[in-house]
Amino acid sequence: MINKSSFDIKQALMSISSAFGVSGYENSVHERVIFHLEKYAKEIKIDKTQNLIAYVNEQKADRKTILIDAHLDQIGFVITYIDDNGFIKLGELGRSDTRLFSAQSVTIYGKEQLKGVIASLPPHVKNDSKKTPKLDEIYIDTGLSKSELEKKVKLGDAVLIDSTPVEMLNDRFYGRAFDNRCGVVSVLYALSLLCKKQLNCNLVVQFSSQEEVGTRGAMTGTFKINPDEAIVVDVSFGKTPELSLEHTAELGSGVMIGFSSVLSKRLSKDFVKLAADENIPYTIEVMASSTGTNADPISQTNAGVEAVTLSIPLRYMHTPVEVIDISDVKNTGELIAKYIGRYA
Amino acid sequence: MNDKANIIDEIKTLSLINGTSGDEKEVISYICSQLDNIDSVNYSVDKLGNIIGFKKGNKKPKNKVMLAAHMDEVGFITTFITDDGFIKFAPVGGIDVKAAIGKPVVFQNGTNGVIGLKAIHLQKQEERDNLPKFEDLYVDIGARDKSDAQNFISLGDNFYFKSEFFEYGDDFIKGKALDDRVGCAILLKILREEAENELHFAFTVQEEVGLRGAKTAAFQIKPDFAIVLETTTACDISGVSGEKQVCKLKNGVVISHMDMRTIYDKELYVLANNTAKSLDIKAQTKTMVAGGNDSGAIHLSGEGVRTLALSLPTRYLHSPACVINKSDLFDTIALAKEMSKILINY
Repeated sequence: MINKSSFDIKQALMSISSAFGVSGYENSVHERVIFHLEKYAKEIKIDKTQNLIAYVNEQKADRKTILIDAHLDQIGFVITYIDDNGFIKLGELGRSDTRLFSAQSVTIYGKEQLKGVIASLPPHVKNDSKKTPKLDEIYIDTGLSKSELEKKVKLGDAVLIDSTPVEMLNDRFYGRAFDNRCGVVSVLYALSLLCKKQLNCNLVVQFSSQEEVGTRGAMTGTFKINPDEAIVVDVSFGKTPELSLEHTAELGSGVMIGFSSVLSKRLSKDFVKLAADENIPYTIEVMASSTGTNADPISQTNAGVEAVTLSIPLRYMHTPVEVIDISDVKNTGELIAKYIGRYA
Repeated sequence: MNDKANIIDEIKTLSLINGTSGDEKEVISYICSQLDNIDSVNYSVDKLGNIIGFKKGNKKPKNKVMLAAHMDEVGFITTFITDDGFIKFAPVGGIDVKAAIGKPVVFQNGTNGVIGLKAIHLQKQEERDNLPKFEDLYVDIGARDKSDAQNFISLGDNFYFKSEFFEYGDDFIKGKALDDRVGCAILLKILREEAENELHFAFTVQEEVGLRGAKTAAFQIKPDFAIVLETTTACDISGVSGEKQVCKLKNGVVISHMDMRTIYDKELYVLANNTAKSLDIKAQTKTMVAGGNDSGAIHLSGEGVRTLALSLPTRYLHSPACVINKSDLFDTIALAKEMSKILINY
């Protein structure tokens, strides 16, 4: 049985997705997550690579350890150069799409937060305006001279494209960093459903760092936790007009359960059966080899970990206007809670 | 009252109003509400939506001088709704496709959406290297299907960049539609402050789709002289040098000698430059023949109208993030006021 939850998915998503926390700067978002986590976890730790790890219940040596992982970092940029005009050049944290950079406003996270605009060349000076600008051609207009700017920012400081989460029709939202903050929220929702249950397994939640730059945080976090099983919660591609359903899932069609060479067939099948038995909407996401998620390193941690991916369909991944359906976040959380609830 | 803060507030208000060509209703309504509070102003709204009027002065003027600013901004129009509920659209006015991709938008009725694009992970190399065309893009409002979308959106509905207005850096201002709501704000300010001279004015529609409102406005006013208050492309950014910068922010009001639509009255061009110099107003001209504005329609109206264009240098024109600098704003206001006084008795 699942408890009634007072956890507000929308509110949590708005709060957690709008916090700054690019790869390497995850500590800035920890506070807003801990706000929820401390209601459900026995012990919370932050490790050397800024993984936020919650030991939900007492960890006992003689029983199974289950890890739920969701990465907490978001894509963004670092300042690599300040030129003589006070314009900033950027390096990427994670893969971004320069086609959408033009005329975005940004926030620079220096000693103080500064606003800026991504400068772009107008058609009259661009020789080949049908071509996508390269990152090397893109500057941030800060409105400050080099010397003024250098008092406030240093090389290595982070930059984010501004975006505020907004509700659309049908309980759908657009915003940035829904990859993977909506996954994080679904895990928090699952914990709220499991709250007060005595579990006959060790349950550990890892909100991992640096996924966007190569699934790095999950490596060190999982080494320490040494789980038997891992449920990796992330986002995957939502259906849009130019994409085929073979590679995507419709928004609102529920949780995407992963099948892949690197995942545990037993777990994937078990989750499909559980979703069907519990009438939780789901689709099957088939990936031939690697999943591109934290499941890849987690499954080969220590002596090996049985892993499965649960993904939330998301449109326009790695843009400031990612779109998700709240029902998918809810269904993902419910499936996790049903699975863990078996140990109650 | 802090006068400088006032005009920034008014520019912010005007920037956040949505009104592209043919959909200027909300802008018209705001400007009329302001004109109603200015003494001695008479105005009417013509069949296209131009606000045309005059402010009565104490003295009989020698010349009829018209000040003009356009109310419309670039935007989008709904052309089709797909079976799965996505909105196909076309730009209204000249918008670079790069400025549109990945941006949040809002329809005139408040419906929110985004201009989406295929995730970078799924793009083929060729798709990454080449920009899409408008016909490849769509707006996602979260609709489940066509009939769901049709409950909120009809073909022909306009929509807009959703863009925050803010100040940054050293007196820079960022917002959408600064082209030409800044001109509208300057014109309102001049009308509020002018006490002596009779001034004619036109807040025009449909500039962005071919200077269409200005044509009928000038026909009705039949001015001797016109001053067009505008914004113009500045490209004073890193990676661009020399004449390609066109004009620079913080270098003052732009006095045009020629653009794609107008060869400006040479005498007025020189007079405006000399006036700026004598009053210590920073002024510059464009270093490329580029762009065009309502002057193109006004100077060819009737038997011809001697026309001057005074513009704010503006970065990233026709995007959600137009950028101006306050110092240029005050230079433009100062020169526009002085030139209107001079031309009335010229």
